[in-house]
Amino acid sequence: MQSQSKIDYLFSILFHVVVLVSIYLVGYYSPAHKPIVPKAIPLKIMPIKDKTRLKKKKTQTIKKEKLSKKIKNKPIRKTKSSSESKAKKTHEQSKSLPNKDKIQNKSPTKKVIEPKKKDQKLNKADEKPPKKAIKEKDDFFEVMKTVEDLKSSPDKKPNIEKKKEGKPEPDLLPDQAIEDILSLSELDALRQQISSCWRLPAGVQGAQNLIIRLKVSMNNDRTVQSVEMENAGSETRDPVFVVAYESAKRALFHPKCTPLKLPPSKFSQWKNFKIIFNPKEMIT
Amino acid sequence: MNRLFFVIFFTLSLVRGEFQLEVTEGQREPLQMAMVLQTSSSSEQDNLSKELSKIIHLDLQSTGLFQFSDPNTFLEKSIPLNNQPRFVDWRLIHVQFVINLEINITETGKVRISYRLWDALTEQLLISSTLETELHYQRRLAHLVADAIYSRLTGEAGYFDTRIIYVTEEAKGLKQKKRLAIMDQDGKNHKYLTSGEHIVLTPRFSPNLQRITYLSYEKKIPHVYVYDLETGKHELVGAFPGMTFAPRFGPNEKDLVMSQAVGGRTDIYHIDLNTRRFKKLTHGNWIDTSPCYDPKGEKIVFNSDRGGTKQIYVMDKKGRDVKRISFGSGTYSTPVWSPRGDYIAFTKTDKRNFYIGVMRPDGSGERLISTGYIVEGPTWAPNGRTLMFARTDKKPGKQANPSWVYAIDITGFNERRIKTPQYASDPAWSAPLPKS
Repeated sequence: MQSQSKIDYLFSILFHVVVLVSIYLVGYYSPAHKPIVPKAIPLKIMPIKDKTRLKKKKTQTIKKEKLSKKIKNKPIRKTKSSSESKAKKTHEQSKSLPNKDKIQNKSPTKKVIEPKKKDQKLNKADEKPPKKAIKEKDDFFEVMKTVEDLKSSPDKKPNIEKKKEGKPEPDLLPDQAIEDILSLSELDALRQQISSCWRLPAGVQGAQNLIIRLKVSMNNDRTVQSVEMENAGSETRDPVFVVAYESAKRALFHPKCTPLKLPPSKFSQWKNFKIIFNPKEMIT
Repeated sequence: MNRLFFVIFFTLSLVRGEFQLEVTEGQREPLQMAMVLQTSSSSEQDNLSKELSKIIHLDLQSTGLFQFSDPNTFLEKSIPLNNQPRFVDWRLIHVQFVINLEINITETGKVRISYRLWDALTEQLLISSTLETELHYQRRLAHLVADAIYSRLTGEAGYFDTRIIYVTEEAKGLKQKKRLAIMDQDGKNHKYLTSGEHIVLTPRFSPNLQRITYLSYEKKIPHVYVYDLETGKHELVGAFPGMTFAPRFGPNEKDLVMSQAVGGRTDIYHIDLNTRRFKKLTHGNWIDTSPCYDPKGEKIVFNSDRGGTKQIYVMDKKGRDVKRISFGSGTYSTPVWSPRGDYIAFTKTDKRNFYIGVMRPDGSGERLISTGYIVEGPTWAPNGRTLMFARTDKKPGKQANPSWVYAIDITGFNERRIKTPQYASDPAWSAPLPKS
């Protein structure tokens, strides 16, 4: 009896081992890795898409160069491609122009390989619409600024110099946001209105450095609710700076600037805004 | 990462609805002011109030930065001193600042001015103060109130409590009488210092305003003298051979620089008025003249023809490290360093035209701010914001060409004639008068 029970035990052990091994083997060879594959696919797809996008642009530029030299009829293709959508066209052109420049500076063979890392970074940015919009605005708004400046003063050079001198990046970026929020005519009207209310005593010592940054809170009737100074340096103790700050603040409360020329329907967008008073163009 | 942060910031800013606008141009119009005067039961006090408030009014208006509204247009005729104005009423008539004045004579016979400066747009009290002094200083007290208001609204020191010394010109036939005269910056308290027996030129104040240095033909040959305003005595500065001229005090009371011309050459000298020792600062066979210290007393600006034409040069106080700073067309003369050190004013002659101009101490940023038949001899207000100079107009025929003193803002705006009893030239502006 004892021998039978031992045999039973051994049999059961062997049976369990066989079952476990079979389960292990079945599991190993079964398509259990499938979930990993879909994960890998999008990762691969992304760079491919990006590459193809870049390639298209590169090939377009290369083609354009070649075509302009060799074939005359092919501009029709350009017109076809450009006629796809007028709205997209401007965006694409504004996007592609700087990219073309970058691409054209590099050799065409290396373009596909070398830009991978850079392009991947860029493409990550391209995936998100806000960055695209920013790039478009950069070029477009620069043009608008010069046009606006031309209206006020005939000299182009000072505008260019000022942009270079005055670290334009942080100033331009929020201005680009304005373009999204307010139309250019609305923006221009607001700027002109506030200019007409701003009186900084001329001839003040160091006036070129009196750049006042204010944070403005508005009432929904387009009157100014409160103004806060954003400058926080030691210059804020200078009496000349205090006068400049007060003159800027006064401009926002001036009867001519009450109410401000803002579109009532966009209250949520101009409820709070920032304004910089830079007297550079007032200094003779 | 930076890009990521930017995207987050940008999207957040859009979500929050915030944008940023840059305003780079403003208006040059004067600030609109109103002056409200407390009335009193005494006619003596009322007259004093009117007189002193008029001084404050004229001081501020003379700058060209402020414009006063007609009292007849006021909706609020009187404001108790410790009450705030009805700002809405003031805004309705476009007034930006309200000055509320109470002027009275105290029981001890002193004059007291209590004043408040209100910003009608932001509805803030900017100044609240009371000044009191002896009755005979009443005009100065009014100037000091104007200084305080000016300073609060511009951030610069006021210059109304100052004096001007100049040369009066009186032509009788062929004889020309030139006398030293002194007056307050608004033309009041005018006094002659010399009799007119000898021609005098280029008077300049000392830093403590006690002395004046000038050129006189007293000994037939022009020499530099120092006049003591307190004692009325004058003395010759050194027994130099030849002519001495173009004197000017340094920021230190004992320092005086001037030119000496001997044997066809003109050099600049420094004289220590305490020890009477002198030192030659320039050397050469050319004309170096019109020396003027910078506000720190470390450098001297002067004009010289060493380059062929009269140009402006800068050297250190010991006469070393000479650098030419003017390179424009024409000739430059009478350079004067601004009290705040940021500009040098000068007279320029180009193609038979005279100009008053300013440039930075390195020669950059040259601007011509006034022109005329003859405009010359600029002098700075103590805050370095306003210039005074002599202007001579061309009269037809053989009539004498009259010369008057004019003031102009450094920006080239607000040129105005300073009232003098006779023709005037060679003005020099004092530092602010001392006060305890």
